Amino acid sequence: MSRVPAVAVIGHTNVGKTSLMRTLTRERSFGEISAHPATTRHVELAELAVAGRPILHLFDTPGFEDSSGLLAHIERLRAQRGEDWLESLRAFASEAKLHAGFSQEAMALRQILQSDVLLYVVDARDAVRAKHRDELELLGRTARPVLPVLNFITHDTGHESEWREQLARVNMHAVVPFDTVVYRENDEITLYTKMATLADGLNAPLSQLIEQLRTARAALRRSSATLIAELLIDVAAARRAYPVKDEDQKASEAARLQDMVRTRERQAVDALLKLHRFADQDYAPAELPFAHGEWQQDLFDPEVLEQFGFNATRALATGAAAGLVIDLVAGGLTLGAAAATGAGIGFAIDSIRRYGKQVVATIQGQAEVTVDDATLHSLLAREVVLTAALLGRGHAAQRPIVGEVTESGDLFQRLAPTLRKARRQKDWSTLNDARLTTSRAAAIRTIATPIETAISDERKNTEEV
Amino acid sequence: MWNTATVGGKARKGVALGRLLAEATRVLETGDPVAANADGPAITAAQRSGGSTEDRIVKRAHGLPSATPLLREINSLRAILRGLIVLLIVVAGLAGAATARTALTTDDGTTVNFFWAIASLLGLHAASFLVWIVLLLVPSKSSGGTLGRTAIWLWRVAVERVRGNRHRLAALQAMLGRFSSGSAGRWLAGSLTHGLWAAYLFGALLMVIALLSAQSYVFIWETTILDIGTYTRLTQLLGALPSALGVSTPDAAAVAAAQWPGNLATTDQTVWSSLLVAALLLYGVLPRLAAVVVTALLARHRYGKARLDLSEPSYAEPALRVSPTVTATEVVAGDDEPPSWSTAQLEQQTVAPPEPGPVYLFGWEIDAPRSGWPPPGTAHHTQDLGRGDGHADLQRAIDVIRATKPGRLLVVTDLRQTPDRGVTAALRSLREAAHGRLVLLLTGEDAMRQRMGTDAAARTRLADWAGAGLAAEIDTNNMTVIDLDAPPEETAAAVTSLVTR
Ligand SMILES: Nc1nc2c(ncn2[C@@H]2O[C@H](COP(=O)(O)OP(=O)(O)O)[C@@H](O)[C@H]2O)c(=O)[nH]1
Ligand SMILES: [Mg+2]
Repeated sequence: MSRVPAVAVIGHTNVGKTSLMRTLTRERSFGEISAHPATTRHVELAELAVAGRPILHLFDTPGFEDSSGLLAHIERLRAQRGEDWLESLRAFASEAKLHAGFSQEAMALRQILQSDVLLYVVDARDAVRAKHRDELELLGRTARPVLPVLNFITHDTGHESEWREQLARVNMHAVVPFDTVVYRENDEITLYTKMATLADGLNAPLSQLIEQLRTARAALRRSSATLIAELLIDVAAARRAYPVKDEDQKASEAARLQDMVRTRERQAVDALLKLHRFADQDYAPAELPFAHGEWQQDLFDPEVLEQFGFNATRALATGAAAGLVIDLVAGGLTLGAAAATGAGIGFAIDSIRRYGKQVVATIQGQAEVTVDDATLHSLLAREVVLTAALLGRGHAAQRPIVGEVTESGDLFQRLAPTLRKARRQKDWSTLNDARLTTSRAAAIRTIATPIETAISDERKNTEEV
Repeated sequence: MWNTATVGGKARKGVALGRLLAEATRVLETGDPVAANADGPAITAAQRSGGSTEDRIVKRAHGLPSATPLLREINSLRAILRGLIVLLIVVAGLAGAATARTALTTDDGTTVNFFWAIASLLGLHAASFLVWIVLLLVPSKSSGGTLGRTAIWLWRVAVERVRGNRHRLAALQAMLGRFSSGSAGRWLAGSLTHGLWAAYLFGALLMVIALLSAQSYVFIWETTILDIGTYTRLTQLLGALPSALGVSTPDAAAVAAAQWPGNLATTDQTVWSSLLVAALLLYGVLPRLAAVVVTALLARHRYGKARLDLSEPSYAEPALRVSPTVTATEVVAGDDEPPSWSTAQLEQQTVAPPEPGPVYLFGWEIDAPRSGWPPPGTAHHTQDLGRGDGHADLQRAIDVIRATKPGRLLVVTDLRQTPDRGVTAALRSLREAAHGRLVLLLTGEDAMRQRMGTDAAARTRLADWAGAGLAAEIDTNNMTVIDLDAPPEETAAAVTSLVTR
């Protein structure tokens, strides 16, 4: 098949055809969706691509409205003209004078007759009615392979079996559940897999599409986890200094810190929404509950010492020790000694530059406010829940995700060591003026992995419910 | 990466440089969305180039205005690194020479303890080489050699001082990321470490040769607790490889003769000298050079395979733009008419009692409500035509209604249903059959509200139904919303008033 395969999305009005287009294309503003009937009054193409190459044409169509009337009308036409069904359908679709008030349906039929596969969207919350049976009869006459798509299946499954039975009766045995509002990766894969069996030449493009979809979803999970990790590191390492015992200053620095954290969270949320290709309107967060800790740099704090100790070890490891040994063996100026003096001094300078200011600040009676664990905890939980919700949201969904404050359970415990370390690394936070570090990136990678797992788990939980 | 460029290596170098540029561009664009969007021509070029998403991202980076300054900074940083490495190699060579000089210097100026000299020249090298090999075998985040790491660290400290140039910082960040990333960075640091060691040992070798050429030494060994057999075996061990290669090495007699203090006159110093030089070369310089070659090749191989991490959030947007998953959306057919549903406001006023005549009850496209069918309160007052859908059911109902002029036709429909043109057509036929005496009862409001999700959507639905009624020429006075899913007692009263005079 050299031309791009064409798939028409059809069905009764307001069953979610445009919604299906949005969810499959991830374009939340494709076409127009409303609760009104007959919202879509045109045929609109979306060209799906793999690695930028067009691979599938999806056509949104106006819905059927008076299906029984339409069937009767075409039957009359057929009787008058003495043609077979397909001829009459073609004539009806192309000749305006035969439309008789069914111009929207004619537009849809024209597209149907030009398509390789039809996706017949059904609102599975509705009972099977005569109008649907009439639509199915009409579709049967178009001699096109049809894949019924049961929409809103996760909302209310009251009529699913009734639909399956009815569809089987007209020989449509391959049926896909696909909720356009509640997204499930497997359903989309099933949709393409079943579609591929319906017509020649669809297999290759659709497997590419499935492959791309899987990769993209995996990248989406990983990227989301990284965004959350960056947020946590930034917030954990954020701090504001104030003179010890100056309560006013302390209060204002704490307020400033809260503002910074709120803004930073908003940034992360925006980035997440954008990554998942949603917009502001898709998320209505609750206010972030706040607590902030006070942190005074204590020179004898074991962690601070460890920090100095850590660097000393590194300096030794990177040459000083070697130099000592060489000196012992050979005496005099050796490479080891050169390296040791060079590196050792270098590290010492680095340490002083890094921590010196803090030490001086402590001696001068400066203290700092930082964000405490409880806040980090709820930030983490909120963003994980949000990401899971975004992963499970179809691009047709109209109701915003409500941000809830939840507990993150033992995930936080797993991140705690890195976050604790981040608390001591002023440089790691973009909220302070951060310096260039590669250790920040490493820390982000470290915590992104468990976050990614947690997102997947959270997602599984919500899918099961 | 700065190693010799073979012809085949040129393309590979291009790929590596491209990735580095893409990384630097990403760093530059992180948190700078304006820059991320001013890339129209670069995107077009990237899209046209085909290839994988990674290729396209690299292509885009090359097409951006930032490419020139970034490449300039990358090259300058590389040059600094290269210069630093040259400097370190010279220092290492000098240090090696100094060590050799120390090793061959003794108090009396002529006798040199051979084994002590060998140990000071090769001991540390051997130990660190072994440690490096052991760390290779132990899976850990081993550093690839401390000297290499230190060199990179020194480079970083040197170049980091430059502030205020965001291109330089971005290039530096990207390069550091590449150096510190996974096994490629480890092999790179490893090749640096070995290179410095090779230079150190080579310096030592040259100095040893120079000293042996220009001065006369007497090589000896001495012991307090060991016996001569130990030293004989040690010499044989050291000499095994050199003598296999045809270098003359001390035999047992020579070892015996070299013991201090003894009859040193009989010793042949050339065998000791050649063993010293051969050991330095074969156990020192050559293994390190071999390690340089192996680690450099591994580093190059790894860098060739180290693809960009496209799951970095800041790649998501450019990736989507260079390899869009939807390449076009366009309206291919349709009219310009706006959607033409009619809506109306339902007035919550009571419907007038029915006219004289039979009262019919008909449900259109509905399931049995929870209060049952027929609805409570209608049983004694109405003639139930049942619930129906489709042409046949409609015609049957119409035939009955037509037979006698009704006092009222109460049609029940479900608010969950979308009021489409099919509904309007059915209502119109029913209204005509009933001589205009049709009252529309809309049920299922609660369920509808739940389904629609928002209050606004629910109100839209109510208005659409009113509109559908109007389109069928039913007056809003003759439409009412009564939820038949509510408890029977509640609905009975409301419904009764619709069907009784
Ligand atoms: N419950 C619920 N319904 C939705 C949501 N998003 C869209 N819908 C409804 O789904 C229906 C289908 O809309 P649309 O896609 O325009 O149908 P089409 O006429 O077949 O193209 C409309 O009634 C929308 O109000 C949602 O998030 N929740
Ligand atoms: Mg639509």
